[in-house]
Amino acid sequence: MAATYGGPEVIREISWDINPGCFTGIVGPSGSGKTTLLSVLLGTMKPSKGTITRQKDLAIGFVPQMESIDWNFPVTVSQVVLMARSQGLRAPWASKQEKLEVGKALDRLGIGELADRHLRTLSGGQQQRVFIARALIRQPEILIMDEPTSGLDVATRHDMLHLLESLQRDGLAIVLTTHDLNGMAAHLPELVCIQGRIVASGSPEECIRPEVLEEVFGARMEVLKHLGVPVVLDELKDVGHEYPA
Amino acid sequence: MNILLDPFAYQFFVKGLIVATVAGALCGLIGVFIVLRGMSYIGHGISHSIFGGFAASSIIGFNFYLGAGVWGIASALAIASVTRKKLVGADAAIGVITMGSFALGVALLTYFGNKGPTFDAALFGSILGVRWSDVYIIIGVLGLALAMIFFFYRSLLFTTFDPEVAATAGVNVVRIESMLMIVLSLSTLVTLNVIGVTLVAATLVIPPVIARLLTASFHKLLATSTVLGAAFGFIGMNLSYHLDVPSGTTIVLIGAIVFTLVYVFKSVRPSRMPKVTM
Repeated sequence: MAATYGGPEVIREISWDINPGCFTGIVGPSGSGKTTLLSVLLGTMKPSKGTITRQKDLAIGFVPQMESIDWNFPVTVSQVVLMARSQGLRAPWASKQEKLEVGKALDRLGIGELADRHLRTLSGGQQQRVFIARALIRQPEILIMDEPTSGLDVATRHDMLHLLESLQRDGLAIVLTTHDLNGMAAHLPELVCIQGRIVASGSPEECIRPEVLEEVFGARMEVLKHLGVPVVLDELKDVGHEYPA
Repeated sequence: MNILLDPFAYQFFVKGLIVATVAGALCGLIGVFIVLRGMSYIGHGISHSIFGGFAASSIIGFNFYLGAGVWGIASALAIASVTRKKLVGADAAIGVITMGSFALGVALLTYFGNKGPTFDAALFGSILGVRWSDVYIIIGVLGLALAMIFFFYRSLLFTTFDPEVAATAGVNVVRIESMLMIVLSLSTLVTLNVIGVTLVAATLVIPPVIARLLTASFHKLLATSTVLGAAFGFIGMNLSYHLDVPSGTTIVLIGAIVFTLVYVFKSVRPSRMPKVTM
C-alpha cells in the first residue's frame, strides 16, 4: 500500500497485518509518515496504491495528538466523552443510559470525579485519559493513538503506558505512534519502524538496533541493554551535519 | 417616556425593530460556531460575497433573496470545500472567494447601473425598505437555525471541537459543515437589510466573544450569545432612531461598548473557570 497528498508518495511499500489484541508502536521521526499511516488506517485518507482490508464492522477508537486540541473550548470532561455518541439525529442532552456509560468510562480510567470539570483545568495525564474514555465509549476492538506520550513527564508517561497495557490485557488491540524509543521498548511487545516504508518490524530487540535506527532516524545511535530491554542513548554519533561556529 | 415610545407609532420602525432583534439573536446563535471554529472573518466574507449576488440580481431584475441567497450559499460551500482540502488556509480561502465576488458585484453595478435597492442601503443597512415579508423570512430562518442546532447539536459540537476525530467516529462532517454554511449564508442574507454588508460580520462575532468571556459551558454560551445579539439589535435600533444614524452602526457600537466593559471587568477580576454540568 502507498499514500500521497498529491506529490511524491509519503508512505510506500507498506504491507502490514494488525492482529486482534496487538500492542504495537509505530516508531519514526517527524515526516516519516506515521500520521499518514494512521490516517489511512482510520479511513480518513485513501491509499494511492494497494488496499486496506478491514474486518467486517470493525469498531475503531481514535485518540488524536493532544497538541491539536483547543484547550479553551467551552466543554466539560463529560461533554467531550459524550461526543462519541454524535452520529445521526440525537437529543442535545444526554439520556440516563448515556450518562451511566460516560460515568463508567471515566471511572474505568480513574477520572470519574472529574466529569464536570472544564478540560483546561486538568493535568496532561488526565486530559489524555479523557480522550481515551471518549474513544472507549464506542467499545472499539482497536484503539489508535497519535503520539499519546508526547508532552507528558516521565512518571505520567509510564503511568499512561501501564494504563494502555491493562486495556490491552482486557482484549483491546492498540496501535500508537511515538518518538519515544525507550518508553516503547520497555512497554510494547511489537514495534514497526518506518521511514516512508517499513524498515523493521517485530520485538523491541529486533527493531532497536543501531543499523535500523540509522536508517529510520538518519543518525548513528548507541544501543545498550538494561535488564534485558534495549536502551537507546540520547547522544547521537556521526550525525553528519556541520554547523558554522 | 413618550420620547422613547414615539418611534413605535411608525410601522416601518416596528418592522425594522423586529428584524433587528431577530437578526441579532440569529447572528449571535450561529456566530458561536463560527467564532469557535476560528472563522470569525467568514461573516465579513459571506456578506461581501452576497453583494455580488445582490448586484447580479439587481441588474437582471431577479428576486433579491433567491439571487443573492444562491450566490452566498455557493460561496460558503466553496469556502468550506477549499478549507477542508487544506491546500490553503480558511482565512485565505475566505479572502479569495468572497472578495472576488464583491469585486464582481461592484464591477457589474458600475457597468450596468443599479435597478434595485440603493448601493448605500446594501452597504450600511436601512430599515426604510423592510417589509412584513422580510419579517416573516427572518423569523423562518431563525426557526431553521434553531431546528438545525436542536437536531444536530452533538454533531455540530463535535465537528466544531475536533472535525478530524468526528469524521473517524462516524459523523458526516461534510454534511454538517455544509448545513452550517447554508444557515450562515441565509442568516447573513436576511440580516443585510438592517445591518448592511460592511457591518454584518460584527453581529456574528461580538455576541459570542462577549458570551465566551462570561461562561465556560457550551449550551450557556449559545443561550447567552443569542440573548446578547437580540439585546444589541433592540437597543441599537432604538438608538438609531433617536440619534438619526444608520441602524447597523448603532447595533455594532452597542456590542463593541459592552465587549469593552466586559473585557475590562474580566481583566481586572479574572475568575476561575466555572464548574458546569452536562
